[in-house]
Amino acid sequence: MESIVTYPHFGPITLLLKAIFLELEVPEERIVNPSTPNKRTLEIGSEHSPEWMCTPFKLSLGSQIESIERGANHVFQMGGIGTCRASCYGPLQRLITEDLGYEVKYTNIDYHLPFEMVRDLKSVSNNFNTWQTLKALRKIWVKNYSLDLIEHLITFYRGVEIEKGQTDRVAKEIYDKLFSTHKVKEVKKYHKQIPEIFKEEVQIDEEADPLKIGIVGEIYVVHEPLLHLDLYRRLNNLGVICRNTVSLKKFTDLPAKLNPFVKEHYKIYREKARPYIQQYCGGDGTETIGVTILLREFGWDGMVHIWPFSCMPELTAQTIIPSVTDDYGMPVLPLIVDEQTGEAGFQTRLEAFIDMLKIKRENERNGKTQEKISWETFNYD
Amino acid sequence: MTENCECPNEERKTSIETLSKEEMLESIHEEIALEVSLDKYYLGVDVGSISTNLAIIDGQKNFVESVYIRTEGRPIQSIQYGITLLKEKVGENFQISGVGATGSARQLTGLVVGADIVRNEITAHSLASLNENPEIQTIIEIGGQDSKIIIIRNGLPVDFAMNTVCAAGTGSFLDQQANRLEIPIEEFGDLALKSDNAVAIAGRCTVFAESDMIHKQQLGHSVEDIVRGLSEALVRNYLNNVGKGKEITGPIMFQGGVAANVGIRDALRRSLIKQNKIKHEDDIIIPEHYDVMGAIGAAMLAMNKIVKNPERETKFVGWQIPDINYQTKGFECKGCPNICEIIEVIMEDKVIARWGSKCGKWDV
Repeated sequence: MESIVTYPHFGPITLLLKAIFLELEVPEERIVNPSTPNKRTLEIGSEHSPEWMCTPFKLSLGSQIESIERGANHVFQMGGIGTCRASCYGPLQRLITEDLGYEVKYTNIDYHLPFEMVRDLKSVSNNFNTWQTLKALRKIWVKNYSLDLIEHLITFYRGVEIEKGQTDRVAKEIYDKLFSTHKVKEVKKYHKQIPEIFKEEVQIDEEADPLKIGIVGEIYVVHEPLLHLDLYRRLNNLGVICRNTVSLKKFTDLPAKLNPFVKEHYKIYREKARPYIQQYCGGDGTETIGVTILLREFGWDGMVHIWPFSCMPELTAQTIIPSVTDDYGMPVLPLIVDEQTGEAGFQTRLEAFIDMLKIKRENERNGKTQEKISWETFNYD
Repeated sequence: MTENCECPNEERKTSIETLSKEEMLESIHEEIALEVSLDKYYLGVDVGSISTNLAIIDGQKNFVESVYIRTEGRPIQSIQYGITLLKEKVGENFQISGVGATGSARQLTGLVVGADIVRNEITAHSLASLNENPEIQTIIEIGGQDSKIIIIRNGLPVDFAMNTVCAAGTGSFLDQQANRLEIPIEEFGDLALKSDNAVAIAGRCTVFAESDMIHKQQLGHSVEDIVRGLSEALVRNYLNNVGKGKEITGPIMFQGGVAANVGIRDALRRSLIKQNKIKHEDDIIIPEHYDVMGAIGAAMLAMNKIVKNPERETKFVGWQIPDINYQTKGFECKGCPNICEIIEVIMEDKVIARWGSKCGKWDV
């Protein structure tokens, strides 16, 4: 049977997953790209999931079932060994779809098992050998840098843009250009131009005095707009610049892993968190604490900590965060999301948090004026 | 109405003497602004899940009049009814200089009444409480669907928390249980005070609490003991959930609809004293207008906005709000896979607003 591949929707990272199969030259009729999830997707997912499972599982299951109904029979699911429940997503979802009567093959992509990963991807490619598969994968992690950068630029420029919607327009063009560029050299060249393009095309209000808020939490929720209820846009619309600190880089950045002189970003975060938590608590829990401290040192105003109901690593982090807040004076707003779409409470908390941060900042600044904002002063990488 | 406007000038002057030059200038400016707005009145409208509150304050932040009614799931009708009641109290020729809207239905409220400012209820509450008593360190608010805690230091809010995923331990649960026991919610608190032997009730989840209550009831415990046990469970839940990790110190302002419940007040007092958070019973302050604090805060926000921009005309629709025909219509946009739920607000056959779309396609 000819395999028709699919993968669950994963916020902006979906573009990256799509690119993997395009780079492997899987013919277009053999890829089913997941459609943007909506309430129905979540309903399908929760209908067939165990009740106690976390929301990302339900959403990705719903997303897969939708794709399977559209003809896919080979699901690529991301997972890992022992990070958190995410590692059992693939096997569990295979059992569920089996019970539903679908004949679907499941493949787990796991960076802990590089040989298996390359072997599995090679098997669906257009008769690639190992070298060609590796070359294709290289393009992906190079594009992942750009994807992170674009995301940071969007959430910066959208918060201070003068004409609403300009950033989104520019971003769309850049996304299109990035994913239609295939040569690594060209991608790298384009990557350097991206900040310039934003600077030229988006007019920003230089007199604005926006708050700077970091976003931490569970990786799927942080990326998927349906689950985080468009958190970034909400914050931007309130005149705040924000930044997502959770990135796929931890899993894909192979050059940093191989280079002994480069310290990977998540290792820096864990080191920061060491006074509070010595063990690895699964998922991104430890990093959450580290980033909170790090951003405070960079002079950021606050954090939004978002995770799905029943996410153990983030829950562990949440119990530690009050002492970080006490020691460093970094306010953190905890937000738990689930299937509900009660946006009123969500918005209220965000608005109140921002009001509080503004008063706090005024008080701390004590009349000192803020320097003019620009991407350069905002970016800490 | 003018009797209420007597300005505590004496007090003001003595306090100014201790201030620095800049501060003195600032307070003089403030004074001027206040004098200009002496005959001005501001309306605040707070539409929450359970109750709709309206309050009028004068140019010196003094309370003038208020209305407290139930929302009953129909925010527009309850605003209209609230305005009708308020009109009866103050008269049709009463001039309103600014309107503020708050509460979970603030967006809709803002449209219906024509608000000059729409702000969240946490800000409104802390503003109103600080005006009532500038010394407070903590604000505890238990409302219909949400409960919150605001930590105040040096007169500024520094930290706050709200209940996260579920509405356990809020007013709507008390309401529901009172209904089930067929006790009017107004008598619920007094009943709790009659008991001196609280029954242990699980407070984590309302479903657990309810089955616990039924079980205890069937065993033969008196209603008074159960009600008191429930009050204690609710307070326990609040302090361990919303108040977790927060430094609660007195004086504490306790407000929101649940503050009306003497049983809860008593349970909160006892458990805070037991935990050594406060020393005296008087450290918990219940403001005079505890039930309409959100509305007072909204009115104050409106006042600040108008005083800052004196040329600004209020957008207040007027006392004819009850006679205007408002309608809302919801539909699903099928333009893209997002399938947004769009809400349309229609005023006299004219669409005045739409919201709910992610792309902004439906915005008016």
